Amino acid sequence: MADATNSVAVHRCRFIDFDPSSITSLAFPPLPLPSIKRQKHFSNHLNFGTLAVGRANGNIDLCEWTGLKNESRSKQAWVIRKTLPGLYPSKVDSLAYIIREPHTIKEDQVPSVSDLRLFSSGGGSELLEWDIENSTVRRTINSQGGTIWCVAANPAGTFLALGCEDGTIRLISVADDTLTHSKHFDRVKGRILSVAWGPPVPKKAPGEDEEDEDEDEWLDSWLVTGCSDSSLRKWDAATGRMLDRMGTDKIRGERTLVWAVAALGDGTIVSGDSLGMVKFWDSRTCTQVQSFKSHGADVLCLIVGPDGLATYSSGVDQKLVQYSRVKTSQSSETNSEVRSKTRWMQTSSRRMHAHDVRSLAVWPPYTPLPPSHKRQFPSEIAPVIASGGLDMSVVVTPAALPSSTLLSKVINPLATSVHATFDDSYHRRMAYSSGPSATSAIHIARQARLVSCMRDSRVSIWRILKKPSLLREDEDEVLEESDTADWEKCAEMELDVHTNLVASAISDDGAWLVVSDLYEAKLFRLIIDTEGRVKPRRIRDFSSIISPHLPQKPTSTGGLSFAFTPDSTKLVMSAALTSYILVIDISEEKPRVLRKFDHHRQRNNLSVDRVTKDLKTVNADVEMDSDDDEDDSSEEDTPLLGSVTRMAVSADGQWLATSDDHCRTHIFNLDSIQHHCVLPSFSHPAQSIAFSSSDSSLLVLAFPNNTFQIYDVETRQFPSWSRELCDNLPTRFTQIHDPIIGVAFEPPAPDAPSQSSARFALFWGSTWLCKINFDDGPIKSYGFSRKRRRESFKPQKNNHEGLEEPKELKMITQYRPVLFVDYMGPGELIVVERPLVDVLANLPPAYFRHKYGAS
Amino acid sequence: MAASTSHEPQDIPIPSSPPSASEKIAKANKGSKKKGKAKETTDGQRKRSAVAKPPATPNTHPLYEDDPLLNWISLTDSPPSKSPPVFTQDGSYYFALVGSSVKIFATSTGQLVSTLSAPLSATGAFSELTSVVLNPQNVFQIVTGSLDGVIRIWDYLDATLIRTLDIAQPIHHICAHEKHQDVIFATVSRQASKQKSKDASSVLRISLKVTDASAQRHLDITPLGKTRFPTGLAISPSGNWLVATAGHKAYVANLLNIKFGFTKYVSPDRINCLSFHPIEDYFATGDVKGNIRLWYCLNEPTTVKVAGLEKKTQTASFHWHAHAVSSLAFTSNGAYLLSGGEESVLVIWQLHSGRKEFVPRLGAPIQTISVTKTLRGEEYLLGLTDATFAFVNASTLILSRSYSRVKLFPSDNTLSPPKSVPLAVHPNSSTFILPSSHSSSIQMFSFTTSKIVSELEISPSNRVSRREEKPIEPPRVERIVISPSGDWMCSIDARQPNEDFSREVYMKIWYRDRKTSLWVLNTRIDNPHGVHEVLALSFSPRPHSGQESYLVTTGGDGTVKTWRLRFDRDKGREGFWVARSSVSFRNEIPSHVSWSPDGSLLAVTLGAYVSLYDALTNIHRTTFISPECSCAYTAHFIGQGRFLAVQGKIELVLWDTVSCSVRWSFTSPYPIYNVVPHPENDTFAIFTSVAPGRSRVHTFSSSMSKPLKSTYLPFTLLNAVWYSSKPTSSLSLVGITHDWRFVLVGDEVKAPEEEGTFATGLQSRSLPQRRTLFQDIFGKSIFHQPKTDDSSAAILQRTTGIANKTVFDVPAYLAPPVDSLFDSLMMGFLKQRPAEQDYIPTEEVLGDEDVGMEVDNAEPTLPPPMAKIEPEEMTSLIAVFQKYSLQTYIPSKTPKMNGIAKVNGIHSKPSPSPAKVPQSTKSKSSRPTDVVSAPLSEPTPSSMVNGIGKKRKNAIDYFE
Repeated sequence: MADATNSVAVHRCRFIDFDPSSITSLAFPPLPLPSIKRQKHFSNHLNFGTLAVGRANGNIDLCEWTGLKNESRSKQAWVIRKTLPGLYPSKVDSLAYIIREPHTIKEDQVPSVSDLRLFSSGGGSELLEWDIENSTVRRTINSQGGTIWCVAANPAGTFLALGCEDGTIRLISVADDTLTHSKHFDRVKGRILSVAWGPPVPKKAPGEDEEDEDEDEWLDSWLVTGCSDSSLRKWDAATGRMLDRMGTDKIRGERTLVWAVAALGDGTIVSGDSLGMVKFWDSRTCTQVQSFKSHGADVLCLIVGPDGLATYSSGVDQKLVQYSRVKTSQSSETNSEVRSKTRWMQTSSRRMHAHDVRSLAVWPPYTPLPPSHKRQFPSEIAPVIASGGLDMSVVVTPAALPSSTLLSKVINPLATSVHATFDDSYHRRMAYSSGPSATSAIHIARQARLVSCMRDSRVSIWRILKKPSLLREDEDEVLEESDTADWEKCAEMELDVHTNLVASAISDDGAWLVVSDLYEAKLFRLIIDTEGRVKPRRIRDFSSIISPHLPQKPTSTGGLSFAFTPDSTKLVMSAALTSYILVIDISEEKPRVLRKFDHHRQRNNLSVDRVTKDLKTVNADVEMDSDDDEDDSSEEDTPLLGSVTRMAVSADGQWLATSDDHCRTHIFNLDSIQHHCVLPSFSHPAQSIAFSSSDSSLLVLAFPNNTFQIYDVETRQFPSWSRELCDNLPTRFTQIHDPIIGVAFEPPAPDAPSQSSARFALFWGSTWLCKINFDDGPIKSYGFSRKRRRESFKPQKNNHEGLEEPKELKMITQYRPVLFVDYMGPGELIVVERPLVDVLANLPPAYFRHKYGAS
Repeated sequence: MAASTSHEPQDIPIPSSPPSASEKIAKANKGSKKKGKAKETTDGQRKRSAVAKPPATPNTHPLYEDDPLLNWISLTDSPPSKSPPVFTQDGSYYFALVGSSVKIFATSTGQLVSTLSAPLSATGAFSELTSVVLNPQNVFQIVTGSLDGVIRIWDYLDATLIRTLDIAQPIHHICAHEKHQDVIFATVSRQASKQKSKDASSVLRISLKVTDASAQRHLDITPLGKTRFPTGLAISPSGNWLVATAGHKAYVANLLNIKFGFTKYVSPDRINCLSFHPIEDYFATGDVKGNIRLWYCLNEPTTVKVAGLEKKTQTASFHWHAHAVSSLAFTSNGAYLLSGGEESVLVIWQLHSGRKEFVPRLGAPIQTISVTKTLRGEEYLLGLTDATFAFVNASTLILSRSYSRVKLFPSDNTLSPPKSVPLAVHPNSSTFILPSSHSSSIQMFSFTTSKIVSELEISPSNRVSRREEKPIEPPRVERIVISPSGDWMCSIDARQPNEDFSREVYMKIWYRDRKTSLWVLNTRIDNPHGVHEVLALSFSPRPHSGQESYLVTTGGDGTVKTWRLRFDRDKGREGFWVARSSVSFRNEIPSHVSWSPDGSLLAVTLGAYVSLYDALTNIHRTTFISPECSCAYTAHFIGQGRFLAVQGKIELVLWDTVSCSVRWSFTSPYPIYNVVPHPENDTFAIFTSVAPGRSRVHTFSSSMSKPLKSTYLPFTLLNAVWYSSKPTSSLSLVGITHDWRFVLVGDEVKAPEEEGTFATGLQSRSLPQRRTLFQDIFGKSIFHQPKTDDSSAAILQRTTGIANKTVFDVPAYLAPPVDSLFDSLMMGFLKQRPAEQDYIPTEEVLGDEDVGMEVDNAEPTLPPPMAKIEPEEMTSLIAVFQKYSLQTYIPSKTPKMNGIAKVNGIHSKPSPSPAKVPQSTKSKSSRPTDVVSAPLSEPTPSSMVNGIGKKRKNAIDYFE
């Protein structure tokens, strides 16, 4: 029997034509403007901001840094924490973050998601403001000038400049949580394709002892726009008049499109255009200072490095080019000519994408501040550039300047390589997830052997055919593959949706399918006809059944996650906008809501984002750090909604675990339909939760920083063996770059005694599978090379009963990128891959494709 | 032996070789005569610190110290130096380092003007010069550094060595800057740690200041820092920064704050070369991977030193070169960067845009690049690895001139050494046929003019640089023979087999075109001996003058083939070569073949045997085999053909072919590698290799087994052929040595007379003037200027000429108005007329009928006593030319169409405009005193004039 558990048959599924959506926009939150009067002080440590990734299907992914607060490096970097589902159909063209209340944020404090307002525009004339908490659109405003081509917030975060189709810039006032039209600038011919705010000027204070009126400290000076008529224009921010026009190169009278502009604190303007030229301009004289023909095709995006000493451009030819400001002669001789003694040089270029690069973002963000107020960042931590485009993955690369290596050793926050400079470091491609909020869009029905996959508005179902015989081999951990066409497509459903689909589930027996967008959940009964075709029949009155149980105000019957009990008699859903957990009985003719839980709406058991109330039930040594001195308002009555995106039902159907993005995890007893307990929260929301199949009371919570916890639901505690295991995870496991996406347990063979097989869990990320045995105690990792292992091997005193020598951790990395892994049955594993080549094959051909052997 | 003193090897640059005890002794034997010679070139203050070096490595071989040195001279220079040539300030000469000497070439002609040879060091060894810079304090001096650690300051105008400074550490690079008076910077190897790590070096700051007479003892040397083995050293144009490159690092020192030492910046690849931007504070490096990097690290804030921190800086990189960049240079305006390397392509980078232009197909890998600004505009001087200097015009990017000497340097040392080297003498034109820098071509070197006459590519081969690490072996010319008539040349070129393809051997027979003196391919025979090598190749002596020789080849397939010239009846005179016969003998491999002097017998060396064949009938006559010689390598007929000298490994057996008996035998203690018989008498010489790089030469006569004479040579020969310019009874031959020198060996050899091989002062030479249009027409002698004997006057005269020309160096808008210049300029060229004659170039000359009149006027007024041109003549000639050039327009003046005629009519009128030239000449000549009194050099201060004054002063300093 032990042999049987060591060998599994693998269905390597590449037929699932899930296409991730390409990236159209990236944004990091801005930093608040420094105070004019206060002494400059720069912090030693800067937290990493939340990266917003706008996609072509309208979704916006919010990616959070996985490292702890005081860690400056994290292997896993950013992971998707939440997805704001876009309206269907829609897209995101530009994103802008502003700080909600800038005066409440300290100068060196990084605003968290709750302090930010997020705006997006998507190819139309509407500007959207998002409610990040509820994942919904909060407000919209029409540009009144046609399609919005670009959005930029001023450094103070009080205005948004919209570049419109009709050639006007419109300023939207967003101060004090408003969203109103403020003014519009003079109209020019052509479109405004890009816009950037120049450095703000400190307001002259009339008296010295004036109170700090933070909002009024800085005044906006000017804006620069890139237009579609081969020119850049400089505008007075106060009057809205055009100050000057800068003409770019043209070819044969065709119009050059200035796709990207950026402004630096010293007044330098950078532009990138459709001829592949990156030009540097002097904003005072509006003359061209330098010009680089650094790209073969359109330059689509530009960013300025955090300290303003470097600029990066990228675009259709996929190159990311770095320009650095260098001093070419002694500046001490004549101070008046300092400007002419520095100039920009194209210093290096890298190609990290397989297709057009649409957007760039850098952390820490650059704020164009006058040189007197220049912001200082700790030089020993390399800035990180995020880039994204049509090849669907965000690529992050450390981008320290070589000059920072003069002072001290520079830390690479991504831990990709020892080097942290842009020239020498390695970049990293962040994995894409199949479903929103890093959930899985793929679900399986084990008994019916069905695989469902959810797309933006479609759901497809395939059937995995039974293998004639299961090969079993004695060799350890050998996974046999079966690439033969042992699958068939059963159904393809196109749904009428408001937003992109957010959740779906299929019951184990294959009889039920539930899909939901943000506003409406749809339950289908799947009827399998004689030819094996699946006929979905919609339960029409599902919405009307559950809507009485939900509040009227945010009218939504949609669910963020669904779970069927293993016997397919109950459906558990978490309501989308209200965070209720509904337990619905579907065993009878008509679905019936059994119980509604509001535990994910409660604020009372939460102190400063952490569960503390039920701590007495668990061991006291789970350390709770409450160093956050942010005093939340004491509005006890308003519920704190958490998006419940993770749910698990134990194999025997007794336990239900739900987890939300506030790191709260509740356990419910489905037999009694009672709330059972709440788990202490951890530093990260759980990426995946699952009950062990062999021991139904064991709940595994996997976190995106590649750690996991095991909780015994029955005894309401973390078993001591599990704590030892989880605290001593091998570094090879925790240091792997791709975060955990899921956990899978092998269902016990029906004829086998329940406890006989070894308890293990299969963890998987987008590029790896790893089996961790729970019985063996702490896993020892001896590094990657066997040779070193032999040298350092000593018969260690195993405090855990002193068993045999511990097993080495083994990772399977042959499948990539993995979208989904689960056990179809005992000894039968399904691995869903979606190779990037297949995804890119659907795209138009890229500008540059590397040819083998050509240099 | 007495003759050997006239040409002492010390006059000829020899690559440094380990000094041996016998050499010293040989020198001592020669007495004081050459010492005087050495003094002659190196007088001045020769204060050598008498560092007693330990004696040379103990010799394991007995070196026959009684053997005299066989006289020899080398016709080739040492391999070209890696340091780029340096131009004089006016760009008219350049200094190139060759071995232990500085050669001064004229920029305009490429002619060798002078050679400044470093004297022998105390140990008697030649030391290679590694770097040369102009003395920034005195542009008429150069400073050189050498591997034996001596800094020498030369006055190149007087060709004297002014000063030597011995710092006793091998110097690799030196540089100087005018901001740093009396100081030079040098990279030296540190001897102390020689055994530990070979590449430990340091950068020194050496003061040239003469404090007092005893200052030589303790030089003022400040170490700046330690580096790895340096590849470059440069000072920024501002004089504030010193940069050295070594290994993977660039070492930057702030010269304003020397105490701080070097800041090291890391490059990803090993840096090969360095160049500073002429205006701005940044520098460029080229690395072994072909990347060119611009470093902007100079003005970064001075940093604290952190141990173990790899410092990087902002660099911009250019990449085109597939292989290492060997040299870099910025143009003088700083807008372009030149780079070159193994690809033999000069790349010109436009710095602000990164665009590049190419000068491809330069013939050999580029080793050095230097930039000069001459009267012709900017020019790039490329030093190629085959010792060619090529000038590229900066404006046209066309290879304008290239000057090469004997190129006998294997272009790539990565290839395996060749087994045999082609060498032949073409007696009719007294040229040598030598291998060239590429193994598939040969060059013709004329002994009399000591110039390369032509180059011939025997086998077309791809000269594009290697792509992979392991280069493909090119086809190699292995053998060359010339027929006795001098009309035919036979060459064997072969490509060695490897796993991909089998051996390819081609025999090519070339006909000499007598009109053009070029070799034309006549017959090509592919694989004359199948897939086997051709082992020997020889033309038979001609029995009758009208008859053409046979050609005989032996091959690895065991056959001896003869080839003859066949004339096709239809095509008349044109003949081609066909196989005549083929013989073989007992499966032996015929390794050598030689003809009896009358051409009747053929001696074939076959393993242990030597067989004699009748050349006409191929009848085997007899076989010689002797116990003394178990394995014969070669067999040569001696004298008139009675004796046959059979050479074995160490044995030599002399057979009498008449009596078929061994006359005598000789056993050498060392392997014999060559036997060269005298073509006239019955003496011959054998060469034995005593030690690597040293051979012993025995001269034998057929009469006795004791050598007539035993001599030694400080090299071994890869190939040697008999050559003597005049009939001689003693040994005289040419050969190619193991270290690729082309040498003339013999008792009575004499180097060809060549200009500039000795140190000559530059004053005596007037600058080569460019030929004018008038010179082309009337010959150069007409414009002969009488020479003044006073040398200082000569200098002045020359410098005024230069001063005049420098007027036009400045852009037109900066120049003074032309009419203010014209007088002084013309007076510089023209001679003052002795008497004021009222010769007026008539203004009425302008009409149609005045052509003859001018000539009439000119001739009687000036009957040239000594074919000299007078200014009047010039002016009249100018008028004539103007007139004729105008007259070309005249036919178009009278067209039938009236409308157009009006346009042209303006030109055709006898307008006053052409009259301006004579008029002005007249008006100027009316008051000549003003012109002469105006000091010529004042409006444009000439650097040369100023420099001379300075030089004088300094020279006095030095001599006092």
